Amino acid sequence: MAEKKSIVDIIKEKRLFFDGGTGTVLQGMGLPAGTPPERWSLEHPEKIVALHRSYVECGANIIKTNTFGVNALKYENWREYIEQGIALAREAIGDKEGCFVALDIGPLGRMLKPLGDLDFEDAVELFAKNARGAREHGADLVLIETMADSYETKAAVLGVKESCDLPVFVTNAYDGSGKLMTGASPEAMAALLEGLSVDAIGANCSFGPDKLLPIVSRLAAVSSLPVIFNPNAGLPRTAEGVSRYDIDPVRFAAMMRTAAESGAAILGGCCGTTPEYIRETVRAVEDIDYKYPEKKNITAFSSYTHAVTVGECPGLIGERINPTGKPRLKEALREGNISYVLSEALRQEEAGVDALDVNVGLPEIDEPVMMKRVISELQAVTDLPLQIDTGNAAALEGAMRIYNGKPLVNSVNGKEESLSSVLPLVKKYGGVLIALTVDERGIPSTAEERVAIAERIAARAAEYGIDKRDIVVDPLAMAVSSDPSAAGVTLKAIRLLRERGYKTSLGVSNASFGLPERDRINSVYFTMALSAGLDLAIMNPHSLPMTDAYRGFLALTGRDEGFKSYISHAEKTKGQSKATAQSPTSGGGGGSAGTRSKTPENDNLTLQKAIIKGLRQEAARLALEALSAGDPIEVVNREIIPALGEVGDGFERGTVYLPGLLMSAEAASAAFAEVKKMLPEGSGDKGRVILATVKGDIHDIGKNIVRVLLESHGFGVLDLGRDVSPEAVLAAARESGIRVVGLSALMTTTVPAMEETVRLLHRELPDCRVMVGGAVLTKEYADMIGADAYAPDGVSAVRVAELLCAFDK
Amino acid sequence: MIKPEIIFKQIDKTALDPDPFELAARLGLGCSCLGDAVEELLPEVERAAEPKYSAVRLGAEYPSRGVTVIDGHIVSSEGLYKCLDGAREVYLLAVTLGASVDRYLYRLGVISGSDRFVSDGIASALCERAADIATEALSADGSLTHRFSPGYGDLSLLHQQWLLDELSARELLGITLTESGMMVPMKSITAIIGIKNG
Repeated sequence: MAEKKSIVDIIKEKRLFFDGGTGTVLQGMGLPAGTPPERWSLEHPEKIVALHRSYVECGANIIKTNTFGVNALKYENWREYIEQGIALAREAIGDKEGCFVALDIGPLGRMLKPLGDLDFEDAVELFAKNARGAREHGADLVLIETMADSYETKAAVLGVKESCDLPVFVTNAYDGSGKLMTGASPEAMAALLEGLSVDAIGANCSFGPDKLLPIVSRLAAVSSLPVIFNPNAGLPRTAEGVSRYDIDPVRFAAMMRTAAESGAAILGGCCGTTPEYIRETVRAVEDIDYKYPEKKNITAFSSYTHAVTVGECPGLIGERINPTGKPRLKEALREGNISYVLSEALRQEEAGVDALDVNVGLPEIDEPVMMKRVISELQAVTDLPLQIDTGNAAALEGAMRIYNGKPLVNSVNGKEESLSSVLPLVKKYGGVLIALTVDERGIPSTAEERVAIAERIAARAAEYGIDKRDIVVDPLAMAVSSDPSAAGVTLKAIRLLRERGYKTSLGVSNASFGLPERDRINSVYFTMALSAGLDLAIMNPHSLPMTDAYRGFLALTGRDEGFKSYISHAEKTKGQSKATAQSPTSGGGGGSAGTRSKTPENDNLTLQKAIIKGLRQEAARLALEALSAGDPIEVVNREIIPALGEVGDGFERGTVYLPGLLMSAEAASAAFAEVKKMLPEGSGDKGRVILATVKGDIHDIGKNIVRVLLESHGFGVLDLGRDVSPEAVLAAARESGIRVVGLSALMTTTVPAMEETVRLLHRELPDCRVMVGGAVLTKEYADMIGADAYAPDGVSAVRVAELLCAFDK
Repeated sequence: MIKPEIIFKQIDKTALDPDPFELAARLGLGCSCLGDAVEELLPEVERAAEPKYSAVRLGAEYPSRGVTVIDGHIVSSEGLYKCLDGAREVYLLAVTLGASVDRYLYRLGVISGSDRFVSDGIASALCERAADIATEALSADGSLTHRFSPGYGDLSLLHQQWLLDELSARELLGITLTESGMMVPMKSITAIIGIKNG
């Protein structure tokens, strides 16, 4: 017998139809309310076969197995459900030609970190378990559906693709605003899923075909893959005591016709649809010619919310998260101080970049571990797409795997070693590849030779199935100080690459190495590169000459509608003439929040008053003034500590409230940051403390309060974040040598994890002292779980930390 | 599967409209400087919020004191029993401000601890207000008792998953539970409300 044609080949030739709803139809067949439909696969298999058959008879070609809610989190016998689900669908289809069984995989019902508590790799493994059964029991494809979170979608795709080689179709549940619940646009999902090499993408469930039709058009406009459309029969409505979905089969089919005209290649239904809806849909589109989607020549990278298309308008990539030449960042990375990295990211975001370059390579740190940690934290606080910048293949793979989107990958070059390590990763995880025009022979001196390397990289990438559109070529900015013709060669290469259909990127500032006042020449070079057709610039977004050049270029070339971008930039930077457009004084803030500086009597403000009033910028400025006139230690003892003491006393008396206390603490931290710059490295720290919210607890507000207060009093804080396992706390204490640990828990359900952490720390590091706090804790409870100290609030946490650190010394 | 009986509504966020002074009072804020903080941060939290709710009307029975049976689901809670006061029907309700508020608060934690604290309080107040709006809308069908939520008094958090399932809260609102029973997004409320004359 000839081997069955794959659905991936069939869809190239004709439109296909999914079946419709399962639960709603089964309820009509007697499934009691509240009973999960998958239970009937084992209890009433004949009814499931009948359901599938009724869809086949109405024209459905793809039958979803009754396994939507099955996973190893919910069912111990998940294997049995998967096997039975596939068997029942197969029985219903029989030997009918052109029909396929899709193993249906739904969401796990748990939110992934950082919003929830489910680890990404645990999610991957849960999906992988289902997918292993797909191949084993004879499914034709896997359908991942109703995913409302881009990160869970990625985990599902990886789990499936790493466990079987079946075609993978993916549909997401978009809400009324046209996004996923966690923020992804259709374009972001198209970029992510095409990058992961799935076989069809689309939308399902949600609020009915009318609401989802624009999603279909948007997906079809950017994706080269077949678009699937499986909506609900509208929204549930109750009228005259009867509940039903508000779109009938004929109206539904009319909307599905519009969807087919808009480019949907595979049509079907979800909640509330019945075989009748599918029958009407098949009828409604039979006279519409079928056309497989055209290949879209779009270069796009993405974050968990949006995609950035390269080439529409030149884009900026912030270069500041790179330790080269940045001693404070180096120190932060060595200390595991992620907060500093995050603050730098937010400052660049505020400066208007389109993506952030992330490079954490330092000889003395474990780069793969640090890169994963930084990427994971960055994507929790910013929705900017990230450019993963590393020459370490393990670091690159770890980062690409957990990245919630389609990243920029910096970089590959023409050397075989680079090609063979980077290209397989880009094929597997998806990404837009920055291709450097250098190979074993070095950097060519002519533009033509650099283009030739780009062509060779593209040819090798094609062997891996990576399209040219996913390659952005960096023709390399070289120092003009050593070769005056270098700038001209690179600019010519940009033009030649553009003629050959390549997008380009450039680390602009490299051109000025060895010259004084580098930004003056960089900005001119940048303008020339933009004029030559440069698509992406990796640069310092805080440089005023560079941002002037960029905003000016957009305004002068008609890419700035109403000059909004230029005017906003001009207003923000009015009066600034230095190279650095933003003051980095506060040591922790980015963005507009946290910079409140309103005060009616700033003229008479002292440092003490600024701290008491919680004025961060003023406190930093006044600290600088005080330091220019006096000894740093005196500034601490005479100004900062008394101010904090006054606010702390007020808090204890009930005349100062917690927000006021925190604002003062942040102002004190800003002042303290200026003092620390005047002191030898490490000498300003009162002591170092590890802070963490315990495993299972995602409420970190108490821990954050303590962090702010400790930092304001001159403590160095290693903040491990929330939902931190006992083992991770122990590892951090071991690696850092810090012997004072503060643990927070908000819920009674997570206090056992606190107890376990205390026990583990005491067992493995007997000299480690643990203080605990949190809404549900009492002194008695703290004693009971073996903590060394209890801190009922932030102010007492500072006092306890002082005692414990003194004890440690 | 979204059950046909479920009421789902997006709440107009301009309707949340909390009085800034009332908010300041809720947060325990005293001085004018902190009032500024609320005034500045409230629009940011509102911008991030995507308030919505789902509700479903179900029958309730009381086989013995302290025991309530809602559509076959047994709830042992003296507090709930007293709150429902013998109502023959109840609404289950879930309200959320959405995941974007969680993300906003997390991000703010990096920028400013004080702004994060104030915004957290603002978000809690907005979520309560959203629950009030949902309750007001449901009260069109009859006079309602107070809302009673898992975690209040003796009503166990273990009922949270049942409530979310009944309300299709994952599908419609994006609410899930962590392993330790916390709701995600964090600014979410679930409740049981008695329909007095239902």
